[in-house]
Amino acid sequence: MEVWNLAYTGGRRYRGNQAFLIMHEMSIATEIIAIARASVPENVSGAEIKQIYLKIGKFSTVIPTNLRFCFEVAAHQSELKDTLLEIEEVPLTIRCRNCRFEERPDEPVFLCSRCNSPVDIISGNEMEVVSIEITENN
Amino acid sequence: MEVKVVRHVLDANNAAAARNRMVFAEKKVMVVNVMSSPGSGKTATLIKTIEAIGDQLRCAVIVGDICTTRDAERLAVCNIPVVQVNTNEFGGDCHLAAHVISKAMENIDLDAVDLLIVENVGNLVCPAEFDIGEDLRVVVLSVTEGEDKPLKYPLMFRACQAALLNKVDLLPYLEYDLAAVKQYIHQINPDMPVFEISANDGRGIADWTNWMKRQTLAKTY
Repeated sequence: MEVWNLAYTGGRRYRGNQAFLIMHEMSIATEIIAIARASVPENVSGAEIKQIYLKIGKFSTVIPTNLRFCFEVAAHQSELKDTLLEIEEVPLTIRCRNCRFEERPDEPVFLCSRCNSPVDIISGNEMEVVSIEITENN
Repeated sequence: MEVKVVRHVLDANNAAAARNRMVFAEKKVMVVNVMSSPGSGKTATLIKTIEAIGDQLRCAVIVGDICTTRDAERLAVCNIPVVQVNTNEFGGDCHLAAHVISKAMENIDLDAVDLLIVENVGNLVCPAEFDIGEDLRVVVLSVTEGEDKPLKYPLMFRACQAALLNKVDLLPYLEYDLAAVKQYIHQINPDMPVFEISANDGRGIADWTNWMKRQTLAKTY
């Protein structure tokens, strides 16, 4: 029987007290930081990431306030410690597979309120880095 | 200066999941991701499942927990390959990610496996978000957890293809509304089959394993 001890997420080891902050949004925050860093154009020297724009769906498991907190922890003592998160929360929208009626349910009911048919989710699952705002410091 | 990114936050995980999926397809291995809250009876259910189908399908299990190898030790009675993943020695990741499965796979001879079951970390929230390259997702819900669990965790029930309602042998001792839990499940996922089982005395296991066998044979042959 093989036993693996893997103290990291997304290929990145947690540093210091990050390892003891067990929240779902912590792994999300570290992925956002990695994507933001990777998105700075190579031909831009000395870039500072001032803002990261996100779309977070209300049906995703990410809670924006928790994400902000975890981002602050993950970015602590890094070049992103003053970076702002701009979060657009996307409402849950469903579309009926039968009558094509679209609605935004207040409760987790995935049946069409008009004809009681199954529905598809057309928005509300997003977890997206939309863009970053950078300044050049050369 | 604004730089357009437009990337899913879990791009890296999804890419790893896609690579896993290619390997599983090439090796003709059916992969089932079993999820639940802690204590629903995943391990006991898997033991009963493997007992029921082990002579027809070559099985292997990857077990995820934050700590301990207890679940893997329990599964050892099945005499199949078992890989235990501990996500952190002191309390770590609350789900299994695709790259973790990639690592664990290296320790299994996939040429000798028809069905790979992943017992995910006990958690009804995060595992639903993380694609690991599986073919099927199954949620285990026990009758001791309350009928409204599906309403509280709709993403999990929306993301899975089947639900196992476990511990039904305890129903005579509970005030549990079986019709209500099925109604709640089907208002979130109308197409979801619900298998009433007991991992304790084995009732319902045949219906569940017959359903899973049909899915597995469709892929592996």
